[in-house]
Amino acid sequence: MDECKSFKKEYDKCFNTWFRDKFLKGSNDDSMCSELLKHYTGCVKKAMKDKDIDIRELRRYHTEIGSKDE
Amino acid sequence: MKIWTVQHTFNYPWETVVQAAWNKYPNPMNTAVLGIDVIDRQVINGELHSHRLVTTRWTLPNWACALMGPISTFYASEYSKVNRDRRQLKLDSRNLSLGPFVVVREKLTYKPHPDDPQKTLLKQTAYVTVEGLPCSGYIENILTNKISGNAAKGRQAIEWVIEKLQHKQPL
Repeated sequence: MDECKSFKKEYDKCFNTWFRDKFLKGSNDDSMCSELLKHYTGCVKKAMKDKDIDIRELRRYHTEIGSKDE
Repeated sequence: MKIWTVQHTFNYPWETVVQAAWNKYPNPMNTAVLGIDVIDRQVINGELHSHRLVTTRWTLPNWACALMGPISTFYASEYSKVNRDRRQLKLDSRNLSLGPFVVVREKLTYKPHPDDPQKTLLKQTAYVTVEGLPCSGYIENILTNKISGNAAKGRQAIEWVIEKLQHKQPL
């Protein structure tokens, strides 16, 4: 979403570092980028709403892979 | 329904390929994908779950224009899970636009190559279903060919990102 580009850039930078240096090394603590993620997804969800894209409907598409114990 | 499947080996370890996969778009090989945005992401039971929205732009063939009007931006929903203990990334995506006539579902798995753990094996399967339209089989074939071409571009894009990562260029 064009309107969320600056949030995405900040978040992706943080995520890439977290994924490489924390998650892949065994940490489950995802608080490092959580503030940036909140701002970014907040922007994306608003943009989706403006474009009439229903998030709840989307979630139902992935019941198989999305289940916690699959 | 048409099912298309392919396997590809990357000459890089799984950890490298997965980091590149997150940063695959935008890339110069596949300009149809404008971007991917995160909707939700969290670690659940040690696995990283991500739900993302894929935005694409297509030049539509005439038959599609007649059906849908001059829309050119399409969305897809992608859900993925990373299991670092099993060294596995699974992705599942399906189109939002074009429904209910056209359903394109793709499943990808990245895991270490069984014969060489320093390499990564990608398995990709696409399921294309076109219903309630004239010439459904013909349209399924066109879409399947398109997916196969895009899959090759996607693999090139991953190699391209890995090159960039290895030269420490900003993504």
